[in-house]
Amino acid sequence: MKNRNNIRLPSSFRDPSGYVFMTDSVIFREIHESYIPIFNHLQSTGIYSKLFDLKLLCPHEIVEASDKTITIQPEKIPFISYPYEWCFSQLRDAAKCTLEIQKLLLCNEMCLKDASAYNIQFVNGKPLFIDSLSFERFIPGQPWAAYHQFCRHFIAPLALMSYTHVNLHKLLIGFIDGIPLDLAVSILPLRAFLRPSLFLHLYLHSKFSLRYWGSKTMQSSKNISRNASFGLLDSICSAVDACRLRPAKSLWSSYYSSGTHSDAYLLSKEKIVSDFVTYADVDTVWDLGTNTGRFAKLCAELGLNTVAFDSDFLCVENLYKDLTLSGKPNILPLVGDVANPSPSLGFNNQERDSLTQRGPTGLVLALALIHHIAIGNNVPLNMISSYLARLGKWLILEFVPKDDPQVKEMLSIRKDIFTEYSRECFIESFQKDFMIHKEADAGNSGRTIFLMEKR
Amino acid sequence: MVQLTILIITLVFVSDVWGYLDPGTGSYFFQILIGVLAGIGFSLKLFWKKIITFITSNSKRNCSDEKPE
Repeated sequence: MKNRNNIRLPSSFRDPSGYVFMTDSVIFREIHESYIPIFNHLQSTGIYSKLFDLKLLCPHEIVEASDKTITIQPEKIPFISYPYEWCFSQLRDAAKCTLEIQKLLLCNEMCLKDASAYNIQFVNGKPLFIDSLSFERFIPGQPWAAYHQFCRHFIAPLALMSYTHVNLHKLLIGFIDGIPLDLAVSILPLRAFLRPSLFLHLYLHSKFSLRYWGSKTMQSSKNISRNASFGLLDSICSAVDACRLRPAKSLWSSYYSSGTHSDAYLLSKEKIVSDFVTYADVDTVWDLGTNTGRFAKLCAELGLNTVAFDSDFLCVENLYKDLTLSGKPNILPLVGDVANPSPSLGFNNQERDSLTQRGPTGLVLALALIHHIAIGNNVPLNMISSYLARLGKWLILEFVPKDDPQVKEMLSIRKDIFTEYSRECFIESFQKDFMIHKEADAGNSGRTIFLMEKR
Repeated sequence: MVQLTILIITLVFVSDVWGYLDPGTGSYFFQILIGVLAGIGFSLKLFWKKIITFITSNSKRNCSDEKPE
């Protein structure tokens, strides 16, 4: 694949076995000579095929092979998401997928050489391991090199979300290689450590890591039996199972079921959105502030690949569970806040892309959202417009006027400093970045839904 | 002289060559320690499974033997 248009992805630099590059928007992975024997072993023993069949590993095809390098083309991932954007159940399912792969590999005298949560992506509603080069031969007697990483990337955030606060997964933004165990232990309540598996893999593990950090004395005594490796894996599985999300209610998780909106309003809105989406004729949509996912599901039913964002953790959790049960594969629910979107992270700020860098999408859906950004977060209308224009080509936006009960409630306990927040100013601001194609009233609510195209 | 010192230090403090991931020495030692317990637990689990399989297969055989012709 010696092509002038090859662009090496800036996030692909840690693994000496190969790297990922892009040619004409298609992703390829080049495998270096040192990894070819392992790659061939995985091919010839059918381990890759087994992982593909079980839908645990992203399938790939060999597109070019020589003695020195092999180039593979993995199946396209519709949208790259990161662990700090996942809800609790997504992170737990990703952990289980990683452990299932490790178990299968151990049965075949292989093991995972890393256990990063970033190796998992959600495709068709299920977690999928995407790094075809994360496998190495299992050396009898040697402990699992990725054990510490697995605890930092999965067990620590899951335990924190389960026993302290569900929003603590955001710590993963600050700690790109997982939450340090001593930090997790210092935040977790004592009752978390009543679970033997969490006491073992977090508390004792953390204390040992601190006590023997950098020590060379123990390396001579390395020896771990095959049964011990399997036993350890069983115990790690118990630690993941020990983390469960307590039933909770948030501000937005019962927004639609609270009866704030009439059926007539919601049905009218569905009809308008459906017509506008058909008119825009796009393949992908980002639903910002999805709440219960009602309109994201509508888009998915119209055949669009949908990413549904909400800043409320429980909304995303409920939607993910709902989609898992109903089996709607083309919606990916994620935790995301328009007022504070995911930043670019990692070395040189290039390892993990910001939300904007992962766009633009075909259509942005911003229903009953603008008042939360403009009034709730004091963001001027022209800035909202220019940001949304960077996210997608088309925009369906519901304008909520100042005399709307929701806006009145927001302004009831604060001074109204939003003199520019009016339908006229809104149209004037957005027309700088967008062309308005259509507009329609959402029932008798006084709200208007606009269909706009980026200039 | 400096080069010789570096060579000696390198040879004295030579450690295992890991992949590109640092497993952490404490974590490494910890796995060896709990691995013993985990290994015993896993062996007992396998043994227990064998007993259960043996009993269930025996009872199934008995049931099929008792079937009237």
